[in-house]
Formats: sequence, C-alpha cells, structure tokens
Amino acid sequence: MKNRIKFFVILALTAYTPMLHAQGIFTMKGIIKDSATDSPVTSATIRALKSRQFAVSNRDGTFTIRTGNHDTLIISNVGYTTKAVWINGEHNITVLLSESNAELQDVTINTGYQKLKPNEVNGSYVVVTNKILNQQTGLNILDRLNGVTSSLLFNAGKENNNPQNTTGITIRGLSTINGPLDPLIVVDNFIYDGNINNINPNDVESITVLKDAAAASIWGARAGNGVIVITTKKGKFNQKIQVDFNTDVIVAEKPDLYYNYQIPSSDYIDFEQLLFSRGYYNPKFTSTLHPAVSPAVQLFQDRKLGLVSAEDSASQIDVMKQTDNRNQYTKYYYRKGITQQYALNLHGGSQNLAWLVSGAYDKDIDNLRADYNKVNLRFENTYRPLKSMTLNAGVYYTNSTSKSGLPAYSLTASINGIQQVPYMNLAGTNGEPIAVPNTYNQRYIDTLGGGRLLDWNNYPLTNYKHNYTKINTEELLAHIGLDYKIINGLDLSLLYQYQKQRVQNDYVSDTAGYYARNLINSFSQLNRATGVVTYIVPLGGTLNRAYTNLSSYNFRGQLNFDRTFKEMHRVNAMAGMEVRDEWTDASNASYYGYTANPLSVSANIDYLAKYPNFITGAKSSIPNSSYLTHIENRFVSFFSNASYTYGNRYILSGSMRKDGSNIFGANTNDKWKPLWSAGIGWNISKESFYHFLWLPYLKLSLTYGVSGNVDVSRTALPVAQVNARSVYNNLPNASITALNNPDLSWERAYQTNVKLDFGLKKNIINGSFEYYHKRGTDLYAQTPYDYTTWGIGNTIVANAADMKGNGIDITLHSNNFNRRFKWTTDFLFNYNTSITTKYYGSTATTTATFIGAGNTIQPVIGKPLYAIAGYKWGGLDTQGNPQGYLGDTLSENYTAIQQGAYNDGIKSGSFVYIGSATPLYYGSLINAFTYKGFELSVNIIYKFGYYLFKPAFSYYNLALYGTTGSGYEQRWQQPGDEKKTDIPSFVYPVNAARDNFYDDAEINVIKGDHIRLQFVNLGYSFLRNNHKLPFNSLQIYINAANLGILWRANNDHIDPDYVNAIPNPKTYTFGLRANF
Amino acid sequence: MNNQIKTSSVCLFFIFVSFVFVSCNKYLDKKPNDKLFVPTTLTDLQSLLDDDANMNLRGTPSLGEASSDEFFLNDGEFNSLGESDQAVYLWQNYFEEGSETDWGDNYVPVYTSNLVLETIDNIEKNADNQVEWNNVKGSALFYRSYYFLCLLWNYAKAYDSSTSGKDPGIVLKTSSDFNVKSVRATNEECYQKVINDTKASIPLLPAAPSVLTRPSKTAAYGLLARCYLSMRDYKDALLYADSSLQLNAQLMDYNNDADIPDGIASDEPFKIFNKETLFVSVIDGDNWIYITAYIGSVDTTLFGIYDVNDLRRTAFYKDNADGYKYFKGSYTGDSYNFSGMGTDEMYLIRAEGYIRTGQIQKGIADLNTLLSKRYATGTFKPISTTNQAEALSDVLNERRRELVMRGLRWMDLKRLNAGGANITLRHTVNNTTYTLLPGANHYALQIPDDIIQITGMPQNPQ
Repeated sequence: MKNRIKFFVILALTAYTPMLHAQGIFTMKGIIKDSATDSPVTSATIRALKSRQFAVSNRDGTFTIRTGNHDTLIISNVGYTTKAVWINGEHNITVLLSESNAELQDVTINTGYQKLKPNEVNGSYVVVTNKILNQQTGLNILDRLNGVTSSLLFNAGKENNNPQNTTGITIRGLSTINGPLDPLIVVDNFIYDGNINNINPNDVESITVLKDAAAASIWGARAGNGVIVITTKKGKFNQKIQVDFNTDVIVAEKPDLYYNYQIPSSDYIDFEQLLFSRGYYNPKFTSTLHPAVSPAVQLFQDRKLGLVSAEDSASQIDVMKQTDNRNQYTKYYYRKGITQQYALNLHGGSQNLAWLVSGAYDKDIDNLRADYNKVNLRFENTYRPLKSMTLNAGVYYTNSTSKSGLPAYSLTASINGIQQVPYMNLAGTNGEPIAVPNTYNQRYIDTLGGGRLLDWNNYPLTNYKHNYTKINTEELLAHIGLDYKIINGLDLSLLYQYQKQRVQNDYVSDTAGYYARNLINSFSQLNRATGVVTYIVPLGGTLNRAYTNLSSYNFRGQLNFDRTFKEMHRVNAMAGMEVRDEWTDASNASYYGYTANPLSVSANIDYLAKYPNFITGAKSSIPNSSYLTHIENRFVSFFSNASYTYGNRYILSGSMRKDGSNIFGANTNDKWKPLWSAGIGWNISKESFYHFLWLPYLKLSLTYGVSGNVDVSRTALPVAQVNARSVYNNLPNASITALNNPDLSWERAYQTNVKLDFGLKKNIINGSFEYYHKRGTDLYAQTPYDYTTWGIGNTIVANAADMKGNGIDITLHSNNFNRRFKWTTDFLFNYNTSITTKYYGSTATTTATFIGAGNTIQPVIGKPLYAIAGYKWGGLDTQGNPQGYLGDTLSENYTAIQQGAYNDGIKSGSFVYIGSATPLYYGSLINAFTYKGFELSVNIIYKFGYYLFKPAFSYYNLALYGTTGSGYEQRWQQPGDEKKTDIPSFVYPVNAARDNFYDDAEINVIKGDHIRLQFVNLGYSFLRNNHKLPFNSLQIYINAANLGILWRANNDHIDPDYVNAIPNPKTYTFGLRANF
Repeated sequence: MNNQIKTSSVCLFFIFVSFVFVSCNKYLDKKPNDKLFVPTTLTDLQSLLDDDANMNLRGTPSLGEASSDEFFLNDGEFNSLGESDQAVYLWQNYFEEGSETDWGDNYVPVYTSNLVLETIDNIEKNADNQVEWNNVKGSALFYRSYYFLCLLWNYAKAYDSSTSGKDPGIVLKTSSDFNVKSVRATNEECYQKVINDTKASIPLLPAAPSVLTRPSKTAAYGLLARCYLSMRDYKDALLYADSSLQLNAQLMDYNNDADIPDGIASDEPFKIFNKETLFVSVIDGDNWIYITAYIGSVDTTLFGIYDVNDLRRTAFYKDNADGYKYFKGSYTGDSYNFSGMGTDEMYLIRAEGYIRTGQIQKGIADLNTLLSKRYATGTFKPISTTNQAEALSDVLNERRRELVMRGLRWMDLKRLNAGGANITLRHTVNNTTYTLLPGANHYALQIPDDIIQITGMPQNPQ
C-alpha cells in the first residue's frame, strides 16, 4: 500500500424518521456497519453526550440507547475511526464506521515544533514516508525526494550566484528574486546548516515538506522558500529489541561521452589550419608570455619555420585527424562507479526507557575514481523517570573523507583550461601518460632552463594522484530534551541542541604534482653564467589547508496545550521562545616544501618579496592564502501556534512569530520581523446534511500567511571589512564592502492556499486539489544605480521588486486492484508560474534580457523569472551571413540589432519573446504492483511548458574554446548553400557579435518538454510466516535509476536537464533489508 | 508532583522567557562577522585610506593611454582583438558600460575620500590626535583631487581658459550618498576644485610620508604642478614643481643604484618606492591597457628618439619575439604600469615651466641634471642651447623618453594640441590608415553609456 496521506472517516448518515416525540428522552435504535464491507460492527461503544447514556452494539451491529431530541452520539470501536453523530429527533439511524487504517495513523506531520495528525491541520504539506524514501537509493537524502514529492522541483541546469542556492530545490516555484533560494532544512527539531550528506538516509524515518505559508510560517523568517523537515528514527517504549540491517551496492555505468556533440578531429584541424593561415595564432608565437598552443597549431608553425618536412607534417596531421580522445577518456579515465552502503540499527524499549543505536558505513568510488568514505554513529535514548516526565538525549556522529579523482572529460585535454582539443591524446600506445600543454608553449618549456629546472609538463592521466583535494568532515550533533506534563493537556518542553561540524580541506600537490612543479619553476632564478638555480619556492610539494568549523547551539522552551472540552471543542496550542547562535571559524594556510612522509614543511617563507617569473619576468610574490574568519549569526524567536476544532468539522488555526537576528548596521527595529498566518478548515463530509456515499471524505481548507526574508549582508550603515595586509604598503587596511543603503528593509512574502481533500468510497481514489497564490513585495532587487558614487558594481540592492506566483498541486492515489494482486497509481501534477510584477530599472522593462538566457533569473515585469527570448531570424544571405531584423528590415549589423533590442525592447522588432525557461507543468506518475512477496514500482516524471537554447554552432567558440554545437559540416560554403542550411559562413577575423547573434537566434530555441523514466524498483519480501526464517522480514531489491528519456519534444536528441553537461550515468542498485 | 512545584515551574519558565526577552536585544548586538566595523575612529579612517588596492592600485585611466601613440599593434594582434578594443585603437565609437571602467574605478577612491571627509567632521581634533587627524583629512582631500584630475584628463576636453566656463567637466562627487544626483560641473569648476582642495591638503600633510602609497606635501605640490601644466598655466606649474623638488630632488642613477638592484637590463628593474617616487598609483590593468602590456609593441618613432647611449633603451625596453620592443620600465617593480608621480616628472615640469617663461638656462640645467643620470657613464654631453624653441622641443622630447606608459601622454597630446602643436595620430591596420586629428571630439572620451542613461548627463560628442 502506498503511504499517501489518506483520510478515512466515518460518514454519519442519518436516516430521517418523522419525529414521534417532540420533546423528552426516548429510546432510539441504530445499526453500525462497516463502510467498506457493509457487514455489521459488533462491540462498538456508543455514548450519548447530553443524556450521559452508554451502549454497546450487538452481534448484528444493532444497539439501542436512551437519548433526547438533540444530542450527540460518540461511536467508537477498536480498529475503527471514532465518529460523532448529531441527533436531531431521529429514532432510527444507520452508522457507517470506517476501518481506521493503520497506515494512516502512522502518518504524522512533524513540523519540527509539533507532531500533528493530518485532519488537525489546515496548512499544506507532504509527508514522504520511510517506505517511499527507500524506493530510491544513494547517499543524499534530499535526492530521494525527487519524483515522489508533490510541488517539489529539482532545477536542472539553473545557475545562480546566490550562495544560498545549494540544493537546487524549489518548493512551489520562487518566492524571491535575489534573496536566498533554498528551502529551509530542519532535522528533527532544529534548523540544520551542516552538510546534508552527513545525514544517512537509513537514519531517516520520514520527511515532511511544509509548502504553504500557514505550514511554513512557524519557522519564521527563513521559511519563505518552504521547509523540509527530516525526522529521524527513534526507539519506542515497550518494544522488544529490533535489529534492522540494510546493505546495498550501487553500480554507476560509465557516462556517455558521445552524448554531446564534439566536432570531428579532422574538421577541427581543418579549422585550426584555416585560422593559422589567416594569422590568428601569430600573437601566441610572438607573445612574451609564450602561451600554449594545440599540437596541430604547433605543427603548422614548425612547418612554416621549416622545422619539419611536408611529408612528416602531413602524416602527423593524419594521425591527429584519426584521433577522437573520447575513446581514451572512456578507456583510461572512466570506470564503473561503485557505492556500497551498510547500515545497522538496533532499537527497543522497556516501560520507562526507549533506546536506539545505529551505525552505518558508506563507501563510494565514482566514475573518475574520486573516493568517499563515511561512518555514522547514532545513540538515542528516551527515559521516563516519572509518569509526567520524559527525558531524551541523543548523539549523532559523522565522519567522512573524500578525495578527488581524475578531472572530467573536457577539462584536461584543454589548453590553459580554456581550449578543448578533440584529438589531444592522454595516454600513449602503452598507456603511459602524455604531457598536455597547460599554460606555456610546450616547445618553449621543453628547452627552457637547459634541463636545470623541474619537469614543466602536465600529465593529466597521472597528475590526479599527486595533485588532489582531500576533505575530511566530522560532525557531532547532540541534543538533550525534557518533557514535563504540568497538568493534563499542558506540557512544558525544553530542548537543547549543540552542533559542531569540522571540515578540513587539503589541497595537495606533492613533489610530482603539476601545481607544485609549475610554481617552483615559475619562481626559480637561474644564473645563466653559472647555471645555478635558486629556488624561491622551496623544493617539495605544496599544501593548502583550510579548516572550517561550523558550530551552533539552539535552545527552545515551549508550552504545549492540547485538550478536548466536552468532546466537541478541541484546543491545540503551543507557545515558546527559541535562541539560536551559529558561528563559523575558518582558517587557511599555505605550506611549501611539503612532504607527507616524513611530515615536513619549510619555515620562513617571505610572502612580501617579489620575484620575477621565470618565463615572463613579471614580478610577483609567493601565493599566500592565509586567512582567519569568524562569522556569527544569532537568532531569537518568539512563536505561538493555535488551532481550535469544533466537532471535528471546523478547524480554525493561526500562528504568530517574531524573529530577530543580529543584522549588522541595522537599527534595532529592523532587526525584528513579525510574521503570522491564519487558516480555516471545514470537514464537509462530517456535516449531518452530507449524503454522498460515494465520496465519504471531503475537506476544504483555506490559509493565508506572511513570511519574510532578510539578507544579513545588506546594511544601512557603511560597513567596512578588514582586509589582509597588502604586499605593497603592509599596513592594516579595510574597505567598504557594501554601499550603505539606509532604506533597506525585510522582504515580505504572502501566500494564500485553498485545498480540497477527498476520498472515494472504499478508498478507490483519494487525493487533494490545491490552488495557491503567492505574492512577494519589497523584494531585494539588483537595481542599476549611478556608480559614480561608489565605483563598485553596476547595481545596488534595494527593496525594489514585487512578484507574484500561482499554481495548482494535484495529488491522486488510486487503488486499481486490491486483491492478491495489488496495483496502485499515484499521480502528481504541479503547475507553477512566478512572474515579476515590479522591478526597478530600465532592463526590467525589456524582454531583451532573456535573449540567450534561461539559466539565470532575469526580472522583467510581467514575465517569468526564468524565461527565453531569441533574435528574429531572417535566414542566411547569399554570402552566408546570418540576417536579423532592425524594425521590419533585414539587417546584418549585429551590434545595432543587439543595441536596438536592449534599448528599444520588443518594439525594435529585432527579437521575439518565447516563453518560460522553467517547467510550468511538472510531476510524476508512480505505478506500484504487488503480488505475493513481489513489489514493483515504476516512477515516471514529466516536465512541460518550457524552452531552452540548444548548443548552437559558433566559430567564435570553436576558435577560442574548441567546443561548439553541431553544424560545422553543414556550414554555408558556397552561394546557394543558404537554401539548404542555417549555419553561417566562415569569416575572418572571427566576428563574435555575428556568432552571438546566431547562437541567440530564435531557431536555436527548443522545447524542453519531456517525460523521463526516473527509476524502477523491484523487491521481494520473505516473511517469517511463509518461510520459517530466522528473521521477521527480509527484503531484497533491485533499483535502476537515471534510465533516460521516454519522450521529448525536441528532435535534436537533447536531454533538457543536461544541455551542456553529460547526463548522469545509469545506476543499478542491489540491496538487502532485514529485520530481526 | 504536587501542584506547588508545577506552578513554580511554570512561573520559572515565564521568568526565564521575560529575562531572555529583555536581554535578547543585547544578544542581537553581536557582530555577525568579526572583520566588520562601522568606521568611526581616526584609526578606522586611516585604515580605509591605507587600502592601497583601492586607493592606489585600482588604477588611473587606461583609455587615454590606449588611445595615445606610445604603442602599435600589428595586423595579427589587431585582428585577434574584440570589437570594442579594435574601436578604441582606431579612435572610433566604442561601447562601454559598467563600473569596471575607468569611470567606475576612479570613483572608488573618491567614495572612500568622501566617506572619510564626512566622518572626520564628527571626530574632535585635539592636542593628542592632531597629527593623525590632519593626515587623515589631508590625505582624503589629496586622493579625491588626484582622481578628479585623472578623470578630467580622460573625460573632459583639454582645459582652455576661454571656454572652460562652459566646457563640461566631470562629476564632482563630494558625498557618499548615492541618492545625490550626478551632474557634470564645468571644466573651470573642476580644475578649481582640484586646485583648492589640494592647496587645502598641503598644511595638513607631512612633508614626506611613512610609505609612498600615502600622500604627502611633496606629492600635493606635485599634483598642483601636474594640474597647472595640463591647464597650460606654466608659471604656476613651475612654482609647484619647484616646491615639490625643494622637498625631494633625488634621482636614481641608471648606471648603478640601490633601487635598481639587478641592473637596468633585468626584467622590471626598478624597485617600488624607489627614491624618485613621490606617490604611487598604477594604470588600470583590467580595461584597455592590456593592449600595451603583452600584445602590442612600442611605437617605433618613440623608440627611435633615444640616443644609443641612453640607458633608458635598456632599462625600459626589451625585445618582443617579433623583433619589436615592449615596455618593462615601470616604477612599480612589477607588471603594473606606474602612473604615480616622481621627481623625474617634477624636473621635467619645472624645466618646461622655466623654458616657457623665458628662463631657458634654468630649464636646460634641470634637463641636464636629469639626463646625467640617464646616460652611460662618460657618454653624456650636456645640452646647451639658448633658443627657446629648441629648448622647448628638447624638454618635450625628453618628456616622451622619460615618462613612457605613465598615462601622461594623452594629457600631453591634449594640452599641446590645444596650444597649437598640431599633432595627428595615425594607426595603420589591414592596409588602412586611421587618424586622430588635433582637437577631435574624441579627445574627450566617452562616459559609460549606462551612466549617461541613468543620470541624463550630456555625453561627450564623438
């Protein structure tokens, strides 16, 4: 069964009988039946509230009870959901009781402040249960939300300069333009700022996603983008010892390097020859910097200088033309990636003590031999010394080490890290490493220094062993808490959590590493008379070590009140205060002359003196990356949340919160932000007038709330920051880091949510429809300003933007077959648009900023935050020049077209607005089949209604970077070709404006719509009953993920999630899960 | 548990909450980053002024240097450049936007100076702090004037006393508040502002600074000499160059000098803070000047005017791979191009002042003093002329030989052409020759387009 949020409730059906007795006490009759089977329910208890009478149903489900004309019957039975029935003079009633689904009772909404039942809540949320989380595999818990969580979108390929956009996840689209974009991550009770990879997915019980303002507002100012609450597993009282064991192996195939277009080597060499003949590379051979050139260009130069014969040159060129270095990458670089995971969990409990101990070990070696090891240890204890008091304490310890592997395809066969050379070999015929030009001309450094310098070559194939990054992360998360029942219904809880994450980041280049050799050589001073080399940078390796210590403590005091008065009035409220202090201490240091074994470094490095570069003579000092920082953010919050439920039918709820933080340079008033929300819910199906038997559950709720957002780096006063001392004047110095703006205030985000939950009879289909509207005002906006004042940056941040968004979330769960063979379907549908409604500045009024864009937020009034526009395409002229439009006329003045577009907007006639660059419609379809012990689930996700630019052909990119979209073979070469092709002719000098125009033309926009097979999961469970095995349950499973695209709208074979990147390789998981 | 304990624990909780509530504003006063501060004290202000990355090294204008005649590009180099770089080289319209331009970069030290000048008014000057107080205020006035003058040379027409009351100058930004609207003051107002503020800084500044990134009286006199020179007020230029030389008249001997530790033949031979330096600034390396740094070659006419015994041929130049020369003689000791002030420049200003005011022998004497340190020992033949025109030609040629790639040539071209020198610049690329005629509109370079759009200020006509 799927763990959907489901509501099984009793339908109170009143059989209307004419009133015989207008007043007074009388005996009424009734029958209680199971809503699904229509069979009688025996031994149910019936209480009449007013008359204080009590009855039990008979074998045939009938009962009699003495009651008045106006009374309420409370009917309950084990295994069924308790229901209230209003009596209005009826003498004979039939009551249908619904089986209380055990699964439903397990579903708890953990907001991080309260644990609530779905029917007590008006806000909008998704609960992802352990079972669903287990359907996907991998090391990152958040990744397991992909494809199974309504309204959650994993943004592929979107960039943002915002350092707070680390998850790539948006919940219900965007709420801010320039503020932080990440949802708030909460682990158990507190905000989690550590590395999410430290949380072992096996330790997670469930995840609650808080979507609307009413749900999220309890988390206050940082919850504007929604909240993801991760709840970890706990021990339970009165439970025998349980042992859970889980292990799996994930195999990742080699990635498909042939997915992206790469120009054939022969074409590329022809192109290089063309450029060479026009003198394009001449500056590289005359420059005193002696920049690196590709092997073919070097050969052309050698031929030109007569250093190589025509035959030798031709045969070498022939060999290069036959070479496609992707073969070498596939052979020497990439391997299958292997991930192994082991997790053991012991838990149990006596009457007063519940405990849990768990340990996990993960090992991952990826496709490029990067290595990752992680150990998790966890202890959780809950102790009940008194009936009214519970103490709990826990420790979560993580230790992980990662080491970088080989550089990815395209990064090494490149010159200066810029130009990709498709024929560049990485290994010789016997697999020996080949030197790849890096910074300097290969020919030049080969002879430089007469052999007295260190080898100046870079060998990417082996360099990763000597030049690598090693990261060690240790995290300790410890908490202690106390719950004390003051009086019945009123609890006091105190919570404290301490977190410390220590990250040690070593960037190592040992003696053989290219980085160290290059640095030592660059600083070497050769006395040409004596041949003596003076080493300014000591011989040996280099080590750059950075420590980042993230610490935080949280304290929360909270009073909880939960009481039902006279059966009809339920009040659930809480209030409290919270303090959070998080601080980061970071340090960094460089070491030279480093050897690891025996450990030694050189002392007394002079970082101020300047020495000439061996090649260029330019003077510089030895790089010194030392720094110390201390960053500390403090938060204080007062919060309260209350709901009142009347007769299980009407729910009124509200929350209030006031957040303060230590924003530097702000006035005291600006440090505090009040936030609130309100909601109303109506259980229509519990009304006495409700008669729809086929729709036994129907609930409508409406919420509204305000949340906020503040960026602590933006200030009202001019704030200076101390800089490192300069190598010039060596004086203490500081600079202003942000232009002071006294008018800056908090961002505000409003959200309205309407939600309809329903369940069909026998639960054939249940689900919810939601509509929401978001509005953001006073949003931070990068506002163009007159930088004559400050001189730094073209924009300043002001509260100058508004936006609105709206959307629809639909979740449907259907039980298609429910016999021995079970088939369920879950369908998630989300629609979302986020539109800029106000933005200061001239660029915000023209959709020209969308030309060539799509991956960054571009605020334009009335348009989506991510969108695409392209130049109007006028075809090629008879000389193969691309043509655009200036007004109505064809033009080849690309600069004028561009300037016209930016200055006059859409009126210029130069370009067309195309549409959103993020999916407007997205969701997933999950089918699960169960037969005997077998379980198969298939997850399909879809994204519709968006556009993107495909990689287009560009001479400019080809010349500079060696990479381009396809089209070289189809380029215009002779008059008449313009009828067959859209690829422009070659012109020299390479015209960047012309290529940019072509790349950003509308013909290179494609639809992003696609359907993807996200994963297939097949499991088989052995049950003790069936197999007499020494465990309670044993499940083996196989999972296949990243299976690729089922359907796409574009004909270019482009995966819209990976436009310029290689798609994640397919992974296969083999796993075992046992419970003893 | 009895009720009393229950009641008291609730009370304790609320007492605790109220205690925290009262103290939490104090709790929130903690700085989020220990490196941050709001500048209020003299030490704070001095540390802002000692931020040499912004105050000295961010860069004086490069656009003028890129547009002048000290280097050339061959066709291959020209063709490999981007469109805007090509346009600048050919003195054509180019498109430039954003703060990472000469305009933006030169207003950075102006902002810091304004902030310092606004803040220092709140600091009481007393017997204990007056040295520091004076230095901070004097420095801020100097820095602001220094960069105002650089901007004027770039973005305004050559100073002409007959039209300076109407010619648009630059924005005389004197506030750190970005809400103050930018307007272009007249050339007259701008030059007077530079002169008045620099004069006001002189009594506040020390005669010699502790480090040459800091302003001094010597530098302030030098700044006035430069300013008057560019206004063609040669009498005052002479006066202030002389004042500066009275405080520091040292010259390096290119034959042998402690400030040229590896000899003039070495790459980047001159130490930073050498004895000739009065104040350090560099030409903006990021915008246009990279044309001169590694790609282009030194103008052959320029290289041709050196005598074979002139040590500057070795000290300043080195062979490119193509046989032409590139410049390596910056007074920064590294690859930045020095645009600060030196005693050599003061000698040349004073010499020109003497010659133009008829004191020819004094001017020739200054030239000989300088040149005796520039020629190989035993080869120097002192100049001797009594002809004013000859002497003037000598001093102007000497300016070209000595002040190479210092960002001064553009100003020289402007003032000399305004004085009737009639110099036409020529660049030949791909067999076409492009010219910049004397008095062309292009001599007042274009202000970034976005600034014109935002402020509505008039652009310089092209």
